[in-house]
Amino acid sequence: MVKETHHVIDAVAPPMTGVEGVRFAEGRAPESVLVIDNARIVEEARDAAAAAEMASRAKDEFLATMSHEMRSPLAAITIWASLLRMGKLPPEKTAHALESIERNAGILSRFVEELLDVSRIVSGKLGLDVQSVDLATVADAALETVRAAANAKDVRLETLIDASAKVAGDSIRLQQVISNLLTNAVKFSDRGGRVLLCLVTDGSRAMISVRDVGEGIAADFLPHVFERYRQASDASARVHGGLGLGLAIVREIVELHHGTVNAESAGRGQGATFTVTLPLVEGPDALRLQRAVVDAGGPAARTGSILAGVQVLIVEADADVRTALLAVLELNGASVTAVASAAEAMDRVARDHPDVLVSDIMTPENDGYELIRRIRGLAADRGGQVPAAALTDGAATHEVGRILDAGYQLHLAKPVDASALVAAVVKLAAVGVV
Amino acid sequence: MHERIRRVLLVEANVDAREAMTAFLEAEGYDVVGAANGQDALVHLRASPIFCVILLDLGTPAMDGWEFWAEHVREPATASVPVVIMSLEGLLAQRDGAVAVVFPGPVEWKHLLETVQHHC
Repeated sequence: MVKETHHVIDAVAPPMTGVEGVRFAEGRAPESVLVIDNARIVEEARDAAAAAEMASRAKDEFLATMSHEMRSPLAAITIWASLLRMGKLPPEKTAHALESIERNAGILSRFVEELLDVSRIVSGKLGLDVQSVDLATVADAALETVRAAANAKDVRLETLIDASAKVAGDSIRLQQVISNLLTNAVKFSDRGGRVLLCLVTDGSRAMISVRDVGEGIAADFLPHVFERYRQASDASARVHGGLGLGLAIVREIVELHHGTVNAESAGRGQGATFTVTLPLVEGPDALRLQRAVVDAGGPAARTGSILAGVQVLIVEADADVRTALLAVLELNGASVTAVASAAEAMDRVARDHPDVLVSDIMTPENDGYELIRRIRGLAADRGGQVPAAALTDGAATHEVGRILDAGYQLHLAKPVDASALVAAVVKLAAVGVV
Repeated sequence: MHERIRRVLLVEANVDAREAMTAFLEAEGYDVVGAANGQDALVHLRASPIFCVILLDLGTPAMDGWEFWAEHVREPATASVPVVIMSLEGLLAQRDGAVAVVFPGPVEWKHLLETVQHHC
């Protein structure tokens, strides 16, 4: 009986929020067995209502901040423009007015970019273009974006950068992360202050820290710095301008990169340190290799088990491309052997009887043709009929006839789209079965 | 007399907006004293309270517009100078009858000129 009642509450309570949920839960309170559960539900409902109210207030304050932050750049643009149009500006001030218009249009553009990013985050559409990223280069580019603002405030930018740090990620988004942290550090620095950008590695992780000796963060606000809209409601943030979305965007991008970000500050006036930790690319750089095969902007390699049970032999002299081909096919469930030369390939065909062969036609000895002729010369039970795809550099349309004549069933042009590669191997494996 | 004063105190944190509005009002024949925050504005005001109007951005650093305003109305020598608030929040103050004119949105030259002409 107790179990039944419990069941009813569990089934009904979750969709309720706020006062309704509290009332519902309170109405059930007399049932002694459920007192503890009810107390929990009441508390949860109250917490949910309080959180919803806080979020709603933060959003209202954010909208007020946004209209305020957009007002001044717009005033600068419209009034300079009207002065220019009315011809009321002395000629020597024209260049200055145009610069000001451009600068403030840029500020408004950045606001729109930030709002778009937040909208992408909310709808889960902030995608990454993942490649191997040299973090030192990204850090340098980020430094350039804040240099003018730092110079204007006499803030010294200091760096300590480990040039070897490589991660798998989206370089533009990672630059945005560092740039946002540096912008904040400069913004909250006093005139003549210092900002230190550190990039270090510890074997498995890259740590990027941005430290300033400026305004610092109050202890009660520290846990909320990465929350959307929250910083915008902080009086100090309003004083320094901006929409206050930068850190929320930072956290989202870092988490999409499987990293973490945290903020430390000993309090007001004590400066602040923001540290981003990202996993380093380990061993064979799978993502860099993936780029070698996958067309830039093409669909990323899909993972799955479509090639489960299929044995593939890859013949490719270029180590990067070889590893990439192997990675893509293994990610799709194939068991893959990859070799660098035709001689090794002949051994493997005879020994392993692969289901599919994928061979570069332009191996160093230029013997992709020779390889397939020799394989086709073998008896069927020795692997002579293995279905095969030839890889060429570029479309090589004039060679396609020769490739097919030599004994390949398919032709793939490098850089090979990962999904095209998988589709070709699926097709060839099916030919083998038939 | 009051009508002859053509001197405006402009309290605006954004340097570009301040410069643009200053250039505009100067082109219309007004003297403009700019201040980036409430503290500087009070210094100017105390040094010489001869202004026909104060244009006030509420969100300035060091001393925000509200604090400035509270100080300003407390001092008899300066309290008579009318204040025009250039922020959305100004609408709330206007409801209390405390200020005459408010630019809740972006400042446009026509409104700016009409407002300043009205007071000066």
